[in-house]
Amino acid sequence: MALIAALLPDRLDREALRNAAPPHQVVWADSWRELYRLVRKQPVAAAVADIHAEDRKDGVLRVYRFAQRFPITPLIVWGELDGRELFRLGKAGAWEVVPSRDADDRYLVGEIVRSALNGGLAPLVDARLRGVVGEDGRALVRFAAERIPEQIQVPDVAEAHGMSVSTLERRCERWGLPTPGRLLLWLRVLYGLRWLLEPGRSVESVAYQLGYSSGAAFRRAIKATIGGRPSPLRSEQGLDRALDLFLSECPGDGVYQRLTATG
Amino acid sequence: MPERGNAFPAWLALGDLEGRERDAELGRRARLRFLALRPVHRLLGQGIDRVPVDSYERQIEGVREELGHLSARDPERAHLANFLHRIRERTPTALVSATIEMGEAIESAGHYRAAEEYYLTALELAEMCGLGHDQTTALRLLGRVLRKAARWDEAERYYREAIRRSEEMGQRQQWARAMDGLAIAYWYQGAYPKARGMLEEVLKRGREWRDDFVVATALNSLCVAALTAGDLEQALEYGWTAVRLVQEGEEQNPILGNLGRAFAQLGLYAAAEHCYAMILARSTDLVTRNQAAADYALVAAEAGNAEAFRERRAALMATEDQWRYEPWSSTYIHLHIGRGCVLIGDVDDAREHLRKAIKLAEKNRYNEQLIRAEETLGLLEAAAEGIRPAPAAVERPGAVAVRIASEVEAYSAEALAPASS
Repeated sequence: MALIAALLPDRLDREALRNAAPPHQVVWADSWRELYRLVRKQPVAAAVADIHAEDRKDGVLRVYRFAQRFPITPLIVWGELDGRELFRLGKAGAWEVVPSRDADDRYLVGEIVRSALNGGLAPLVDARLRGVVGEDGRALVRFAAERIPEQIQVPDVAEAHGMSVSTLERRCERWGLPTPGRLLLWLRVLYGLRWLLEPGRSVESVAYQLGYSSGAAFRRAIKATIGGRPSPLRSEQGLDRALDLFLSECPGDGVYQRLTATG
Repeated sequence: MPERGNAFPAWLALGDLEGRERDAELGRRARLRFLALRPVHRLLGQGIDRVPVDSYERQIEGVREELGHLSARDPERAHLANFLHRIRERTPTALVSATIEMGEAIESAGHYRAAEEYYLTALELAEMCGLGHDQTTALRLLGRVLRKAARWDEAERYYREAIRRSEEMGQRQQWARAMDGLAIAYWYQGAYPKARGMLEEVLKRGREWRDDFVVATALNSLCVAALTAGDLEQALEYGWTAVRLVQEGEEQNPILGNLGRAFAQLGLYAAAEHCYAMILARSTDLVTRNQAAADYALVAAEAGNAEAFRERRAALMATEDQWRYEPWSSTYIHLHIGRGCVLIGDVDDAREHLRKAIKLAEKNRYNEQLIRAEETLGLLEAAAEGIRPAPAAVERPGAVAVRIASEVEAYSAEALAPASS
């Protein structure tokens, strides 16, 4: 379950987000300053803000500052938005927008929240696996990567694919992937490392976000996969190295590789 | 401007606001284009079958209710209403074709960023759903809109991809259109031999395939090329051959427009009038009709027929509600009517039209029209101070031009004759 920080002064808007957010949890801020504080201190995976939340303040400028400070935390902008504001919001780095008239459609808002929570890691890992692992294997990895914020476990993955855990293990072997448990461990670590790229994020905050009981538990997971401490990995190169190591544990589907070679 | 992939879905549909953020009217228009495309992006992101029908319909209905922000006579309102109606169908073909057509409507208003976003969305949808023919169309239209925005390298890349794919799929007409578009791009960049070479290749292949559409496509562009190069008789030969190869109707109109311009430059005003009259009588496309109506009026002034010019001008102004919301047409009409007023000596009217044309061209960044309007207004002001410009030279028509003019007149009489019972 992921944590979402929200700045929505209007009661109906809060209700709308509350209806659309499950299974994720929402913490509320009452000012932009409070929103920044929540994102810095708590394991927040995405933020939602009404750009008209504070009178006499340029909401778009606040969005720009947020995106500069927290480049990896997606910010969904909410509110009555005119053409100029929408244009400026795109330039300011807003992740997505929820125009007021769509706010009470919980399916639509739910989709937007999910896309914000899932946007980062899945495409990154998928791009690395392309050409190594076949389409079925990659679909499984994408599915799992998108649900890391929901703290997905191996039985959940098996159930979602309509198979038993042991069948899932055999499939992973056939597709040239690590065992399902190891795959989820890797994805959690990669997810966490990506968050650590953001200035001000602590290892503890990221660990909680991933469902670990403490920062130490997350450090142990890093040691079990990459073999070191998280600090040297807090850079784009560190994440790159981690992705390379993950890839070395994915031999891939031989049939797929042969097809690629001959095709 | 952030790259498209780094902004939220459909954001590029607002991109024409760059440098014009305070234009409230454009802001309203851009917002509706953005909101209308969001449901399609939603299907693209989630998968067509995964978006609940109720929620999708509700999202579309919400945009439809906001169309009232545009005037009831604004053609874009009807285009958007039609687009929203068609995407309700949720079939890949309906979605892609509606998105492409909406992109073309936006492109014709001169808003290239929004048009680009619509074409890119159509391309992504066509790729997702495996619609090969639509992929080629979207690629070619991307080439065209980027060419119009003078983003040459990107335009060439899309055109080349459209050429490659249409060749692979055996889509001869798509191939010819893409080759033609790329040749025009080369032409605009001054690479005349390269452009001519491509058009001649299209012509050669069209003749080998005995495909009239392909041959006519090449001939029409060769006509434009000859017209630009000042080789008017050659332009008439190419254009007149092309007219007779394509089916009567909308496809003929751009070629007839080019023929009209060549005739007018040769002083064969009656033949030019016939060309424009045919377009006016047969075209259902508003932009084409508006352009032809302005040309039709101007040619009367060029022929020195002040009375006919004033009548045609009055008729055009009486229907202003039909074109005032379409910025490209509006600029074109004010520029051409302004030029006509200069020619017949209606100085005050000329000044008013040219100033309106300049204002519109500046606002919408129609650089070519802006230059021409400023130039004409400059000549008008100079004339008011007693400086008389040299009269524009009119070429003497040769035998070929005279022959084609008489053939056009006969063709026009037949085409415009009421159907006999």
